[in-house]
Amino acid sequence: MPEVAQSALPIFVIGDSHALPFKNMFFRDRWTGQWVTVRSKYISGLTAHDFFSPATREFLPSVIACLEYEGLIRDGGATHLSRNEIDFSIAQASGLPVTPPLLLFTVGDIDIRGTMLPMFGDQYDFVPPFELPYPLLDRQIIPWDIVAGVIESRLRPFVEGLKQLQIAGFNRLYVQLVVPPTANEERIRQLHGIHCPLSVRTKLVSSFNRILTEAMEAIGVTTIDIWPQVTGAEGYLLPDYELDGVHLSPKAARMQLEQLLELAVNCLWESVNHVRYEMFYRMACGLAPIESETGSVS
Amino acid sequence: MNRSAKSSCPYFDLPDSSRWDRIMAGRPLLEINPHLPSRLKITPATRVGSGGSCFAQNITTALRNRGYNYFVTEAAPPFLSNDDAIKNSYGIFSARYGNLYTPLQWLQLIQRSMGSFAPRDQFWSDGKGRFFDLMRPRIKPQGFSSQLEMKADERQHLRAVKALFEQVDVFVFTLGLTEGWQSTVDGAIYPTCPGCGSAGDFDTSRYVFRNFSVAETTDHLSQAIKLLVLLNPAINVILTVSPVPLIATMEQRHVLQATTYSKSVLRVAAEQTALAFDNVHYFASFEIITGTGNTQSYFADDRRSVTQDGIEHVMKCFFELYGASESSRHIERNTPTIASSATVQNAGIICDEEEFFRAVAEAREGER
Repeated sequence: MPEVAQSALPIFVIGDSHALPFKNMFFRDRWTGQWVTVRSKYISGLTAHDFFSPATREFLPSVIACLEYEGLIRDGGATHLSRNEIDFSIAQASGLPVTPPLLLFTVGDIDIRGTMLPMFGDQYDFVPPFELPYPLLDRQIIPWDIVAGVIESRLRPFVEGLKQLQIAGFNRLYVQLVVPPTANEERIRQLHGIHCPLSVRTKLVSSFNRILTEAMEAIGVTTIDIWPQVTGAEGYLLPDYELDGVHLSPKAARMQLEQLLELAVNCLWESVNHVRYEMFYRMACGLAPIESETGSVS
Repeated sequence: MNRSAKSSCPYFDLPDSSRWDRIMAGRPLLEINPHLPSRLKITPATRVGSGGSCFAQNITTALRNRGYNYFVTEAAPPFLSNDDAIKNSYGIFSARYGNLYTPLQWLQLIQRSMGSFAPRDQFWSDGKGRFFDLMRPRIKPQGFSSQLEMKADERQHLRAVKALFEQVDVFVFTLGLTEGWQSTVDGAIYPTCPGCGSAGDFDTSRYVFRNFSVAETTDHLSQAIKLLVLLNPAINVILTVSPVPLIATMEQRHVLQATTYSKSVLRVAAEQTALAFDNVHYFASFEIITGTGNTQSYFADDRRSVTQDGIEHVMKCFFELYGASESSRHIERNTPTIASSATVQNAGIICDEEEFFRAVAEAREGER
């Protein structure tokens, strides 16, 4: 079993508390039969807005710390593309795969619950310019442009951060769409001290996800969307997938991983890593994996 | 003429306010207040709303600045930035109806809020995914993002309008124009000509130019007051005529003549309405700006925009006539009121009419 665990394909899940239901998952991928292990990192209070600073071009330190801890970056570069001897040694010693890592981010829920929910409370509703199954309540209407503007401003730093990761060589990035909110109104009142009707909350999350999806499509990042499976005919979260009024059950987390793997299998070309292939080729030829700086072969 | 005949002449007993030589001639400008004392008083507790032409926005600003209870039933959500609030036309009037230029527009607004009138030619799309309400074409200059949003917004807006008229103590209405564009379908009157500038498609079979007469204008005002009293028997209305000349006329005559006609009609209609209803009062904005012999300093170089000096004179008279004392207003400033929900800072006068002609000019530039 330890060998199986060591050779399992890691999926790195990094994010807000929605990363927690993924903790210690270990299972066989139904498509390839390969063992899969989840390495999850919960960053307390992580928001899309604080993920990256477009002004200073710096990531939130805890995001970088997490990537460094997992050996995915060192000295500001992606280790899986590194030609540095130390990085290669570390990768070999820790059994890190040759392929670019699968990274799943979970952010956005705190942007919505912390910033947007208090804006709406029980006083306001809004009308998005796309069809959603939720009713329009008899409330003052917040213009969609304002709602969209708030969502976009919350998401912009996250999008910029992901672009930086792509530039650094992380091409297998996945983003979990914010999960459907709880149908338990009382729980929301307990957690946030306000009442915001279920239809407004769900509509907000759906709208956030819509804009998030568009932003991700624009930069070639794949989103993981299990809304159709975990919501009922009226578009609300099914009780089966409720955990605690905020998070989805581990069962739903597993469904997300299945979806991610299915998408990853269908995009195998993304796992190509010419840098490592070249190193292993050199080793197979009896050469040192890394060409010396002078160009001589040792 | 004997002595007794002389003393019986009714002009001899006239108060100073009735005689030009005593009340106007040689008097310092700011001492001129062309009103007799009013039985209407606005206290810090009085809920005051306003609407009308561009000039009416000065009343909004002055009431707020002096700590009166400016009554708002369609306030900006508190999380909106000042810029966003202004872009979405919050805080300009008591509700987001935009400029109400003609008395008929005001009447139809009241009717719409009561559900007794629904224009059939009201909503328009620019074909690029933006939607406009022709009754308030500049309420969102970029338009609404969907028809559903526009209609939902209108529904809430009309609810806020009804609440305003049901709850306001004093409503100040500034009469601006007699000229307007009316639907041939159902008589709906538009604030600006559809299809010129901001929204709509101009079509002579659907829209007709109107220049309302004294009888029509008085009738529109009278109907409006009657409906307001139905909604709110305790309401008081202050009518005032905007001194701002027409920006353009559709009549085949000089714009100055058209202005004089329009303002005369409005002035007479206001007078007749004030005489007909105990709860209607006339305030002489028009006279203060145009009749005190100081038009050079009360109008800007364009001979149309009223200067700050002029506005201050008007508002000084307004508060002398209706206002509470300084000390009671001081208390008011420190007391939260319903108006405090509208924290939008004034961003200058928002004038549909001017925006309309600016847009027309830009369109013409584009065609060249």
